[in-house]
Amino acid sequence: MAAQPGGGARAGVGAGVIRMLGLSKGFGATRALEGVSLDVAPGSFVALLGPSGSGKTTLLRVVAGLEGVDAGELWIDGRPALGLAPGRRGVGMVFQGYALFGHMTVAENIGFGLRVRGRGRAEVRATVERLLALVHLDGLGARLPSQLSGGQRQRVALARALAVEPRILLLDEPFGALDRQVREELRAGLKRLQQELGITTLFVTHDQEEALALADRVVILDRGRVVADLTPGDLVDGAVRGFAARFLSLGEPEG
Amino acid sequence: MRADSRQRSIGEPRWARAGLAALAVAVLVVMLVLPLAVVFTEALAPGLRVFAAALRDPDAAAAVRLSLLVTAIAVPVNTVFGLAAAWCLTRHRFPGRGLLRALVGLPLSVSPVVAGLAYVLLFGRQGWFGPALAAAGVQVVFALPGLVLATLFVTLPYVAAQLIPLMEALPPDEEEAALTLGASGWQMFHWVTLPRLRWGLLQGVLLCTARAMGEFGAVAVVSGHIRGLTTTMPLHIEMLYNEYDLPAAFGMAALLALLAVVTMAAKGVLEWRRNRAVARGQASVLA
Amino acid sequence: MTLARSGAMPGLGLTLGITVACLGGLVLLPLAAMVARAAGTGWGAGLALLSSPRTLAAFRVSFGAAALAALVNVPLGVLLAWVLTRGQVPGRRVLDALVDLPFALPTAVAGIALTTLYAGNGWIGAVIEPLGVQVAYTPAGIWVALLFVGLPFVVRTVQPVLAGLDRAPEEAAMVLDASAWQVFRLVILPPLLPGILTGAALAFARGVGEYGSVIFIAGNRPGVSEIVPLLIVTRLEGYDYPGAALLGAAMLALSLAMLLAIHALDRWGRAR
Repeated sequence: MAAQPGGGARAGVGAGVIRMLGLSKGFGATRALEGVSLDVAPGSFVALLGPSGSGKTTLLRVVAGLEGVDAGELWIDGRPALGLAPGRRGVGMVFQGYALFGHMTVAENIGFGLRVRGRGRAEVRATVERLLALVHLDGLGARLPSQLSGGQRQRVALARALAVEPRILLLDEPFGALDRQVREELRAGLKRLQQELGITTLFVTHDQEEALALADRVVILDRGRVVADLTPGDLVDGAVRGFAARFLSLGEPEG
Repeated sequence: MRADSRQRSIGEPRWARAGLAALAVAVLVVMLVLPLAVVFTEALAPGLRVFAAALRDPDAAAAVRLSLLVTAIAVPVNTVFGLAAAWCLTRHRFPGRGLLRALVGLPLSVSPVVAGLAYVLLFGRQGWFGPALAAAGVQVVFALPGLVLATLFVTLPYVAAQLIPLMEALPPDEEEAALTLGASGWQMFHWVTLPRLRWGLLQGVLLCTARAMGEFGAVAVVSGHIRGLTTTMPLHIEMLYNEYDLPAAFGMAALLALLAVVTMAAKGVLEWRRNRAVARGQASVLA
Repeated sequence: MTLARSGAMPGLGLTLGITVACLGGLVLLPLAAMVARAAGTGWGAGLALLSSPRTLAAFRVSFGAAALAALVNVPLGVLLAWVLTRGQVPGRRVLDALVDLPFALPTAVAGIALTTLYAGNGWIGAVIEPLGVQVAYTPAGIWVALLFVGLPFVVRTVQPVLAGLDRAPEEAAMVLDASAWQVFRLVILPPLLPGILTGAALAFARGVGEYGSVIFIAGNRPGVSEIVPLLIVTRLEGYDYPGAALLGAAMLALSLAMLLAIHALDRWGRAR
C-alpha cells in the first residue's frame, strides 16, 4: 500500500483509490452529470464544491451506489464498481440529514453495519465502545437519536459509517443544519479523524470556506460538469478567486 | 387554551359557535349514535339469556367460525399485497406506475355486488372456468374458496391505502443508509422499513379485518346462502332478519357492531400513539 | 446489472410481481370475465336489456338517491369538519372517531339498524310517521341509508384541508371588518371546494353501488324502490347471466368514469 498521510491504522485494509471516467446521468430532461472524470488518490480529502443543482450530491451517490449512471465507468481499488451493491463497495456514507435509525439507540445505530454482517455480540459491543470514544460520545450509547443534539447526531452518523471500516468515506453536506460554533468544532474533529485514519474522503458542500478549511483538493462542479480542480492554495491565491467566484456565484460562505 | 380558542374563531358570536357545535352533535347523534344504539337495545331487550342462547345456536356458531376463517385467510394476503404494492410504488420508478397505483384503488369504487357477480361469471357453472372446475370436482362458487376470493377482492386496497401515503411521506434516507452499511434487501426491510411502518400497518390490518368480517354484498352473491355451510355472519344476520327472528339477528349484529366499535377505538389509540411517537421523535418523522 | 444502473433500492422484481399477480388474478381477471360475458350478448340485445323500463327505473333510483344523499352530505360534512377542526366541543376526539362508524360498521348491520329505527314503531319512525313522513320501505329509505353510508367521505376529505389552512387571510378579512359568515363564505370556503367535490364524488360513487345498507330499508319494489345492485342479484337468481353481466359491466363503466373524475378532481385540488 502506498504511504498515506497520517498513516498507521489503515495499512493493509485497502487503499481507497477511486477512478471515474466520463460519468453521465440524466433525470428525465435534466442532465445531472455530464462526462465527469476524476481520479482520487488514497487517503486524500477531496471536497466537491458547487451550487445546488451542480450534480455534486448525485456524484457522491453514484460513488456510493445509490444511483446508477447512463454512461461512464467507475473503479474502486482497481475493481469495476458500477455493478456492485452499495454494501459491497467498501464505502461509508454520512447523509445530509444523518439518516439515523430513529427507532434504535445510538449503540444499535453504530453497531448496525456489523450486525447485518453477522458479527458476534461481544465484537459488536467492543467496536461500538471504541467508536463512541473516538467521536467523544462515551456513555451515550443507550440514548435515542431524538434525545441528542444536532452535533451529537452528526457524530453518531460518522461513527456508524466508520464502524464497518470502509476504505472510502462519503459525506453529503454533513454540517448543514448546525450553528457556527458546533460546525467549527465538528470540522476540526473530522479533519483530525481523517488524518489519523488516513481514509479517502469525498465531501460535498456548497460552502467555500468549509471546503478550504478541510480539503487537500477542491473540485468545483457546475451543472454536472467539473469546471475546476484546485488545491486550497490555488483558491486563496487571488488570480483564481475570480474564476471560482464566477462559477459558484456565492455570496457569504454562510450557505 | 384561551389564546387557542381566539385563534380558532373567525369572529362569529358566541351563540353561533355553540349553536353550530350543538347542531353537529345532534347530527352525529341522530345519524350515527342512534343506529348503533338500536343494535344493542334490540339485541339485549329480550333479555340476556335469549341473547346468549341465540349465540349458542349451532348455525350461528358456524357462521362466526366461517367469518373468522375467511378473515384469517384474507387479511394476511392483503397485508402482503399492501406491503409489496407500497414498496414498488413508492421506492421505485417504472413506466406504468401511475396506472398501477390507480388500479390498486379500483376495488374501492366497484360495487361489492359487481365483484361477487364477476366471480360467479368466472368460476360458476357457466363461467369461464366453470366446466374445467366441474370436471376437476372443485367447487369455488357456493363454497369457501368463493367466499375468500370475493372478500379478497373487496378488501384488497385496505392495507395498501394506509401504507402508500405513509411511505411517500417517509424519505428513503434511512433505508439507503442501511444499504451503504451492507444490509441486504431483507435485512433493510426487516430492521429499518418495517419498524417505521408499525402504526400505519396496524391501522391498515385493523380496518382490513373489520371490513372482511363485515363484507356482505360480494359474499351474498357468491355464497348461495347455504345455511350452516356458506353463511358468514352478515349473511346469517340477513337470513334471520328475513325470517323475522329479530332478537337472534340483532344478537349477531351486536357482535359485529362491537367489533366495529373496538376497531374505531383501537384506530383512535393507534393514531394517538403515532402522534405521540412523532412528538417524541422516536419514529423518524412520520411513521 | 440493469438494476444497478437505475438505482439501488432492491426488491422491485419481487414486489412488482406480487402486486401485478394479485391485481391481475384477483381483480382484473374476474372483471374481464364479466365484461366478456356482457360483450357476448351483442349490441342489439344488450341495449334492449339495458333500456327496459325496469332497468332504467333501477338506474334512476340508484343514481337519484346517491346524488341526493351526496348533495345533503355536503353541508353536513362541512359542518362536521368545521366543528371537529375549529370547534370547542367536549369529547371532540370521541366524536371524531365516531365519524368513521359507517366505514367500520358492516353494511348488513347498518341496514337492519336503520330499518328498525325508521320503521313505524321505531324510535324515529314513531315520531315522523304521525307527521306523514314515511321513510322505511320507500325510496326515502334508500336516501337515508345512503346518507349514513356517505357521511364520512365529505368530512374526511375536508378535514385535512381545513386543518391546514393558512389563518392569515382570515385574519386579514376580520381586520377589514368582514362578518364571520363573510369570512367563511369568501375566504374559507373557496379553498375547500376541491375537497368538497372530491368527497361528494366519493360518496356518490359509493352510494350507487351500495347493497347491504339499502336492501332492508328500501321497499325493493321494481320500478319504484329497486336499486341496480338488487336488480343484478335478482337476475342472477333467475339464471339470467347475460342480463346480470350487462348490468355489472354498466356499473363497472360507471365506476371507472367516477374513478377518473375523482382523480381529476384530486389533481385539480392539489394544483390550487
